[in-house]
Amino acid sequence: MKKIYLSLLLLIGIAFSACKKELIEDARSQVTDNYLSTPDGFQTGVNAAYSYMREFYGLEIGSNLSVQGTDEYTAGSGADRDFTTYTSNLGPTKGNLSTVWTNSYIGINTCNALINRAPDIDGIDATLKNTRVAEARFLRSQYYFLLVQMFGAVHLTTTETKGAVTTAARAPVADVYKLIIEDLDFAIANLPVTSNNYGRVIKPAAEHALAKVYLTRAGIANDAADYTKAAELAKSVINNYTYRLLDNFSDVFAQGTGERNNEVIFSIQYSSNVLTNGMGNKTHLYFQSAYDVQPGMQRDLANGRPFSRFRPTPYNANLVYNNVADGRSDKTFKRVYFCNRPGTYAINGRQVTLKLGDTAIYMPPFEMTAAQIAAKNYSVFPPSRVSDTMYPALTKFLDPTRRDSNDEPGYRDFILFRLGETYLIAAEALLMSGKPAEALPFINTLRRRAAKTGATATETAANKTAMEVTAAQLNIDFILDERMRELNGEHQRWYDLVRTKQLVNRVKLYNVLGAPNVKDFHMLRPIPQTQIDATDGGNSSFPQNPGY
Amino acid sequence: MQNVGSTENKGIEFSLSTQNILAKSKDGFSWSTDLNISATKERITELSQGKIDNVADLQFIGQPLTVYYEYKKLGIWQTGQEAEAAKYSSAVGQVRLQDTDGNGIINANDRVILGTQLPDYTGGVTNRFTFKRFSFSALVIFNQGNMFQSQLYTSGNNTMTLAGRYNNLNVNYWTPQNPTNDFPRPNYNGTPLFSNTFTYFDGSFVKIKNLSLGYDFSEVLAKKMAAKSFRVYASVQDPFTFAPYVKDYNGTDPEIPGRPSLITYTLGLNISF
Repeated sequence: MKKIYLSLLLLIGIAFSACKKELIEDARSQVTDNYLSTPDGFQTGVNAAYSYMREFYGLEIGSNLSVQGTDEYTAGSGADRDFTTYTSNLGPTKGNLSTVWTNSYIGINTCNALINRAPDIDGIDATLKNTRVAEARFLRSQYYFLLVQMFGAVHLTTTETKGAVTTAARAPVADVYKLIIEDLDFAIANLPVTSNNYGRVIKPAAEHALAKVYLTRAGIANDAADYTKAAELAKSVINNYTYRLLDNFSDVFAQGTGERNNEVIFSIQYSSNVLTNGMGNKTHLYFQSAYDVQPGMQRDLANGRPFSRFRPTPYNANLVYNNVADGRSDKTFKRVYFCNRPGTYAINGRQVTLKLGDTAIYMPPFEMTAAQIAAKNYSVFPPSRVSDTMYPALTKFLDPTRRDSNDEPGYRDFILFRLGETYLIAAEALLMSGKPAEALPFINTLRRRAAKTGATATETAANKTAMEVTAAQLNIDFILDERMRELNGEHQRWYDLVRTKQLVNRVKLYNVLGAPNVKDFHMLRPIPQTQIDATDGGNSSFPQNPGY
Repeated sequence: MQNVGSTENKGIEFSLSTQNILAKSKDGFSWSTDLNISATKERITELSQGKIDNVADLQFIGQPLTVYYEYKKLGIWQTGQEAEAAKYSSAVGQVRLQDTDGNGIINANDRVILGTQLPDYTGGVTNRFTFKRFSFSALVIFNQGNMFQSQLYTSGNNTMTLAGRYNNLNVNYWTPQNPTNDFPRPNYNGTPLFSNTFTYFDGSFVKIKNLSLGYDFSEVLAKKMAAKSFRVYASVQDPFTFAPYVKDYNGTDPEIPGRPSLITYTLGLNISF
């Protein structure tokens, strides 16, 4: 017995002596400015420059400033309605606007610091350094592109800010685009075609971005040369790389490894690692409505946490898709919920017992008579009964891999550029250059992919044929409708409507809440008052956009 | 480190102690009063750019350090003023703002300094009474002329959305039948226009800070309990607050904006051996 104790003691002794006695601490409370000029710091800085994209894409601000107040989405019950109603509350003191302004300039300043300091940083492979500078220039172009689309003429700076600056000026829109294009030209010339670090920007992503920039600039003065360049760049992305349209539209947004698929060109990175996920991609919250208070339903992971922010307009939910041949409506909206809380409920004026998996809610895109509704054993919401608390829900951002149905941070990447959009850029650019026949194949390829799968191969083939359109049918309204069908909710709409100068027209037609107030001047957002107040000379040196 | 401005502080403090009634005998009635009042004037005399306002940080030459700079609410647009309201992109039932520069539109130039967190004067009065073995004291404090922004009335807290989605403060809101100038018309389709303008309140108050009543037992009685002295007392802290914010707006104690003050009752014994 004693021996056992002794050897046990010995063992413990050995175990303890194996530990190092001293604790070496490397406590860093702060990173010094000089760190950015070291090879390590430079690379970390480039990573940081990406992070400001997550302050927009993935948070409510990104959706507020892209889908709300358009012909695509209107306000749900929980929304900040000012972005839809276009009242004077959408003015210079509106919080989201100063947030995107400030964050974009923080991003720009980070990029400026990296670009300015790069030439003097030694100890890093020259090619790698060049790639990183190209990434920083791509990111800077994206921050400026967001700003110029929203605010028009903005302050233009390409040097790192050191110390307080109280002067600023609104550079002409042409100068802002000139810098954006120079940055993207540099990125295209210096970025690799692939990266073993998924999520970094690569050459085709920069080409897609530049195609979009030319398309947008072309819209300002109907510039034929810009449309041509946009079309050429989009064609390059489509033809010169391994991207392809996935056979099934739903697979583009399938979660898991699905977010990395052959259609994704550039996405904002999120992950299930809490340490690096930041606030997470919260977009899964915003497009869901209150299914969880309907009879037979409770909140669960598969259906998501309904923040009821964005409700599809009737045009989007019921009219824009041809539901016979086009499979995208069903793959975009959730219209049926199955019972996950069995029990007996009062539905359609009588007691109904719902079993697990029974249909509990149905939101058809067409009207039903009172008698038809009364005959159903579930809650029915035809277009006349949907409300800002109960409406068909956009499914492409849902995130059922979260740990709990109430978790706000999501893990999914936010897909920013995908090949489906590249086809639409090519088509729009060619159409606007007066070449509808050249635009047509891009539209029809995309539409054939979207065709509903039939019960038989013949039926599927018939649907594909039915999806095809003719060159005579192509016009800017068709392109806008097609963008809605294909890119529903993907943070494009407000910019699409401004680029094509259809914002006022389409909001008046399709968005009841926005129609009374929307005016031409809303095609620019108000300059945040904080910027004007902080500028020497105030409004005379940094004038507000007209109308605000 | 850099000096980015200079300020000037001027003020007076006044205190007065009086023996209003002196006790004629050991058990007689006495009354004494302590009064103090202080008033401070604070102003910014220079900023980093010289005598130029720093609007972004709400620092203005000649003004105190903490000011509220906002549109000024004049009232609510009333029935019959449809056309005038529409000129300002507003509507009947919405907040009516002061068009300070009179140019016919509401923009950033119409903002004015609404007030400051610095009170005009503050002070307190303590009255003490003794009679026989009883003693009574009352402390009243007051604060006049400051402004504060109420968290309760900020729509970000969802207590003042006037949209029907959340429980709302019980306020006097506009309806066609109730043409008030206090608060705008509730609207299911969005928060009221310029809702910031009705979040500022007069922070003035008069407060009974403390009331205290005590009784000292005689030394004879104390000795029986083997003590040198024996005193019982009852006191109450913060029993009454008189303030426009409390009276008219269901507000809480403006001395500590954001949460209600506690009323504290104390019963005590002081025994020394």
